[in-house]
Amino acid sequence: MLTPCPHCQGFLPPQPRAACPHCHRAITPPARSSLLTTALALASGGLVATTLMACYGAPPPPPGGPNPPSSSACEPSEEDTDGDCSTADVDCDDTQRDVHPGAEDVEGDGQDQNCDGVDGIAQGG
Amino acid sequence: MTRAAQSTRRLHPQDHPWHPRYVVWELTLACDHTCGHCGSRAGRARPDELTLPEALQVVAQLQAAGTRDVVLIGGEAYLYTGFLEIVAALREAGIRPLMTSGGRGLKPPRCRDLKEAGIALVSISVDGLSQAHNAIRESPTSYRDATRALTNLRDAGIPAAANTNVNRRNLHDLEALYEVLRSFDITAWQVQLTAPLGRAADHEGFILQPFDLLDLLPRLDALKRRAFEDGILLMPGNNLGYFGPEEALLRSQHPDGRDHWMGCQAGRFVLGIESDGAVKGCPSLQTDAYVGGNLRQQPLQEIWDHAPHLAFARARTRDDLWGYCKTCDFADVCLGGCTFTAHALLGRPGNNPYCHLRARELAARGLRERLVRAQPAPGRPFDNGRFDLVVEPLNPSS
Repeated sequence: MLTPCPHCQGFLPPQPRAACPHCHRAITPPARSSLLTTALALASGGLVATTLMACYGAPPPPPGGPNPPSSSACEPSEEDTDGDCSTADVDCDDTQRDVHPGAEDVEGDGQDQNCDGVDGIAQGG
Repeated sequence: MTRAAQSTRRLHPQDHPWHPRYVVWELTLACDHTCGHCGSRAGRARPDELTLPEALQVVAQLQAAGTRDVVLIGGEAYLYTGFLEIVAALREAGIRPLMTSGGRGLKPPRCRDLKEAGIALVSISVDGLSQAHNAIRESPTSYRDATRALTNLRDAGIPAAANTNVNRRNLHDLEALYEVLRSFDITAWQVQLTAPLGRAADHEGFILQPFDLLDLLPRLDALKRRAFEDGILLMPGNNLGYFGPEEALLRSQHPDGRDHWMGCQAGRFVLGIESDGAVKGCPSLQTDAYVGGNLRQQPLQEIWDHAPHLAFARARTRDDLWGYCKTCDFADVCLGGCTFTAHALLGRPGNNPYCHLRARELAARGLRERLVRAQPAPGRPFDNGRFDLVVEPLNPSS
């Protein structure tokens, strides 16, 4: 089991070293996980493990279970009037849910749905 | 869904005997996209793909081998005749069926059928905002189709996730893309590097340089913290890492977790099946070098137990590494990172320049590594060319 650096939380190498390879601060042996860190790790499902992944695979659901699908991840608020998850400082029309950065922008309809300044997709951006 | 069912993918390798716990199964190479970064060069079906009766036999063999999760891929898995029967058979066998898709054909009726068949989660490949995503696929409607699929899945009651290949085309989209994906209610997001495999090897301009990780990994650290707050699990693919200051955060499923990379799990707990029955230790591995057998000729368990091409990671040690990786302080734990990625870059595994720790250590000495294509890929599914590695000043102009 690798030990986290007490200063920066990066892992220390298996073989003792004088300094942390990440923050370069001196390591006073023995550097061990604090009781709190160990308790937190145990509470999170085990001390150390690895999650099986594959680049052509799919991510695992979150440990608490997948969020139940809902009609929207965001609700209208003072900062996001239309509830499209883009706040007014980046949303070029905070009154329409279909208009926000990253939205589908159909060229030729006269609207800039994706907030890139043009109808359709801006070139060279 | 119980906590035990959700944690089937999280384990300590020393606590379990090797078995194909997590399987990625290419049902067909037929695809409705021809993505520029596709490692399998998907488009047309392979000429000799497994029939439905043969595929159902594979389900039974996976069940006997202790498989817990199967991700169905293609090409596009839904283009395989009998796709829904496979989903239902996996579910019936007590194996969690998942799917990764470009989403073009995931219209509401098919999503309803998938839900009824018992799919547990579908991950949609979204490789950037609309401009980058569509450019990578050379399709003006691909982004629309992918995002509509996320909506259709949600409407059908199927948990949706997303996969993103990070490359030079979309490197700057990640933060904005997260906001888009979040707005579609995704449960999880898998982020990985585009490695020069298959068609991606034909597009040198896609490929990130090792020093790009100096910027990318801190950004992913910030995104993962944000995602935890939003209840979204951001997980790095196997070729993103390793052992930088953010290692525990990136690899863990909880904000306080201490998980880390424990070496390539291909042929240890991971298995890949190609649509003609060829078996590899990981779906991304190069066909020529890593196929251990074919399910038409041998039972799965026999291939798993005896094929040396599958077992390479089981006995890997520091002695199998070379170059920078062999000298690394974390070599005994890391074992050279992702096998297929290192092989795709330098022609053999064991030395992987896509490493944050390595890039940081070189940068501290005023240096960086740059990949220069030396040999093109021949043009077959899951093939690779070869790159030379140039060490140069971190700021060449200075």
